[in-house]
Amino acid sequence: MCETEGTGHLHQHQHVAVHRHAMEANDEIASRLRRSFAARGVFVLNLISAPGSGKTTLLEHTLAQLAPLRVSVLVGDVETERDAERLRSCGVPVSQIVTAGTCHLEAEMVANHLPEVDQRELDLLIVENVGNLVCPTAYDLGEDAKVALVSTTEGEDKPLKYPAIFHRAQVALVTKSDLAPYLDFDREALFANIHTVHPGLDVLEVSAKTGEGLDRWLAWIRAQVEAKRAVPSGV
Amino acid sequence: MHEMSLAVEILRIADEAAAEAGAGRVLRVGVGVGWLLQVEEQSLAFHLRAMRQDYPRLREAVFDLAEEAVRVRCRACGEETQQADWGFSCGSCGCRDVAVVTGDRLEVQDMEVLTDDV
Ligand SMILES: Nc1nc2c(ncn2[C@@H]2O[C@H](COP(=O)(O)OP(=O)(O)O)[C@@H](O)[C@H]2O)c(=O)[nH]1
Ligand SMILES: [Mg+2]
Ligand SMILES: [Zn+2]
Repeated sequence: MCETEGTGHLHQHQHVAVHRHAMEANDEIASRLRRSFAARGVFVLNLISAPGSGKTTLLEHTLAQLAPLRVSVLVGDVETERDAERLRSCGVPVSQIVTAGTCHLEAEMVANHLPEVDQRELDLLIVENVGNLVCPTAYDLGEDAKVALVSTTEGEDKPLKYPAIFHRAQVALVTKSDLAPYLDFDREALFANIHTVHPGLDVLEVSAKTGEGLDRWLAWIRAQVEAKRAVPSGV
Repeated sequence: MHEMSLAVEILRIADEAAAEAGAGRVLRVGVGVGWLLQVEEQSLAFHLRAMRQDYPRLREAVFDLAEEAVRVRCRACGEETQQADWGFSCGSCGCRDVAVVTGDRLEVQDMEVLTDDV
């Protein structure tokens, strides 16, 4: 009990236990999305990389090959509709999420934009996150798998500089493999660094330009979609 | 980076918890910063100080940020051990099949408040 600032009011000091997670609001929406995707058997990917690692280009070169799977795409960028326009030509529903400065996508943005691309029997939802290796990592979007992309031009120590995304990813893609011969690219070092952060992580090497490695990437996706469908709904 | 969004959430939670406790003023907010989240503590502290003005209950609050280390539980031997770096493995048996138990949350832990004594 104490009197403060001569106001004559008596105040009581109190210790309050809180224990609430700063991400609770996002996590709640993400859990709701995850339950609804599970009930419908929709497999959801969250693609995360630095700007320019090749997320949009990879999608441009693989979306058409995913047929007969029914695929929709949400693409996040700080500004402009450019990436969505590039992807629309592939014949799948695409919605651009313009974050207007925010460096990551949040579950609420996904929930708000989902109706624009939702299909009655959707098999696969691909979310291209805002180009950034730090912030998107912390925001659950209700996805089944985070995919970390790193291109051959970015330096082998990327996984050590940005470990959290490689730690949380279910698969890593090394993109622009066609450029490796022209660079002092140390493949073994990159793999070793990825596996330092995440022992045993699946790493696939791909080139959207030459098509190298795309088969394995497509096979990985199809296997995941199948597995999700096989799980009884409502789980 | 996203420290500003995180600061907004911390302020929202602290303000809500203060209201629930019937507190008119918050003196101190204890925040646990999980190492795994790679939060820039200085940037987070800056945004908390800058934005607490918008919350009358929090205007004088001091934010105590404490880093929370990563601890993992081993799926092989069941031991819980602290981790010093990435590439988590059991500190007891060396097995790499481990689950993170602490260090992945940004948590408003506790507060010192003044309740109006009516
Ligand atoms: N050589 C080569 N260039 C690529 C490849 N994939 C993407 N690029 C180029 O990298 C740049 C950025 O690609 P983009 O897909 O927009 O990256 P995003 O920001 O991750 O979506 C573009 O100029 C692409 O043409 C690839 O496999 N090989
Ligand atoms: Mg893009
Ligand atoms: Zn062990």
